[in-house]
Amino acid sequence: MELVLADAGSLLDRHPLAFDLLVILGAAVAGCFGALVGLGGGILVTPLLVLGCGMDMKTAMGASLLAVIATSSGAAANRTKDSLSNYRVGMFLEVAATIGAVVGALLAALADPAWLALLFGCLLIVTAILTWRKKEDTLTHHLPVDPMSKRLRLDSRYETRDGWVRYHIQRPMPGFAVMIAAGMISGLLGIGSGVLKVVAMDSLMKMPFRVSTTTSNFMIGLTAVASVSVYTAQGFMDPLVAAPVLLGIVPGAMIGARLVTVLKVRMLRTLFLLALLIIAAQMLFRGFGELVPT
Amino acid sequence: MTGVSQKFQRRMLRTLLAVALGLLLWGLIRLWMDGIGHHAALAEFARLDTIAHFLRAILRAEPVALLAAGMALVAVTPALRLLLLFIDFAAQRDALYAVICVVVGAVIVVGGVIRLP
Repeated sequence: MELVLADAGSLLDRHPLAFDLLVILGAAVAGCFGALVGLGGGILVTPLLVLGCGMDMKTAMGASLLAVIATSSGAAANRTKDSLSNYRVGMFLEVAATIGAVVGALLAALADPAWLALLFGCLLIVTAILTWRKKEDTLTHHLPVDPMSKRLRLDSRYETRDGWVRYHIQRPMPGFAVMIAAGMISGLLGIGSGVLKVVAMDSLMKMPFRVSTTTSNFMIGLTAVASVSVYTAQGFMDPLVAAPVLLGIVPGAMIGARLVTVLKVRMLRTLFLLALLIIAAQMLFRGFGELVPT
Repeated sequence: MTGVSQKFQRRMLRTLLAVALGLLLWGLIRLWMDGIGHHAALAEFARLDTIAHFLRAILRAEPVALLAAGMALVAVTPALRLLLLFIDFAAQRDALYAVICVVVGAVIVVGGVIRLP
């Protein structure tokens, strides 16, 4: 069953107020749940606009990228202490991620929206699986010093309850290569691809999980702005779609960040991941439906 | 990043996001009140093709220009964080990472000027 609630093109033309209120509310819920489970919320904006409102895939992805930037900057604005981010690693990897994002966004401009919907569906499934893995900080100070990391001065330390802990970054060049792919996915599908970045930094480069999440939060904003510049140049930015998304997602993410200390997140996380899989199925159904007309 | 830079960054981001949301809300309310439809708004948006047009429209508080200004403010926040980081690395005489900041900024600018046929 397709989840199209309304023909957004006509809804936006005939009832702009109803469209705006629907999108503001939906984006607020997406931002809130995204913050609760540790995703940006941008990943839910595209399905909200495409499946929920029947919007064009590329316009929805443009709005989603702006939402990614807003949640990334909003999180940085509300963080009281930023001793965790490793800006050297972030900037080193951002060279790859922004190049990938520009290439991905250019590919998105040329791609068939049906294929983008299929890819998005697959990505949602991968995101659900990766988010399911519960991660803890693992101590990496015992790992050997990587010569390339030493040359790039990537090794650092972070503060814990027991004091400062040193860590050594491993395999920076494979991490760089993975970031090109993460950037391309970000540009191609209009998401922050924070989950992929965290996996690369945490599993491949052996960066402590908390450090990789805060560094990734800084990175996704920059990667998204690289894609936004391409989307704007190609005419995929619609202010009437982006405005209500931004008005909803920023307060939603702020509420979610406050609720995360109060609510039992485990149950919500399970429900959220189930919802992600249902949305993935809807996106795949839509993509196949457009590729194979009945 | 130094403590001073972090504090400044937090204040800057909060201010920019608050102003951006204010502009977006103002623009949307004006659109509702003026009854401007989707296609008319898109046509207005396409006309904001130069900085001079954009600034004139902002000064006249045209709804679509207000929305565009709000979107631009949101989009500029990571670029400003990059600029702060560049200043920070330059102040530490860390030439390698200052250059990396410039490279990332250049990639973002190049992305915005490429036009597909």
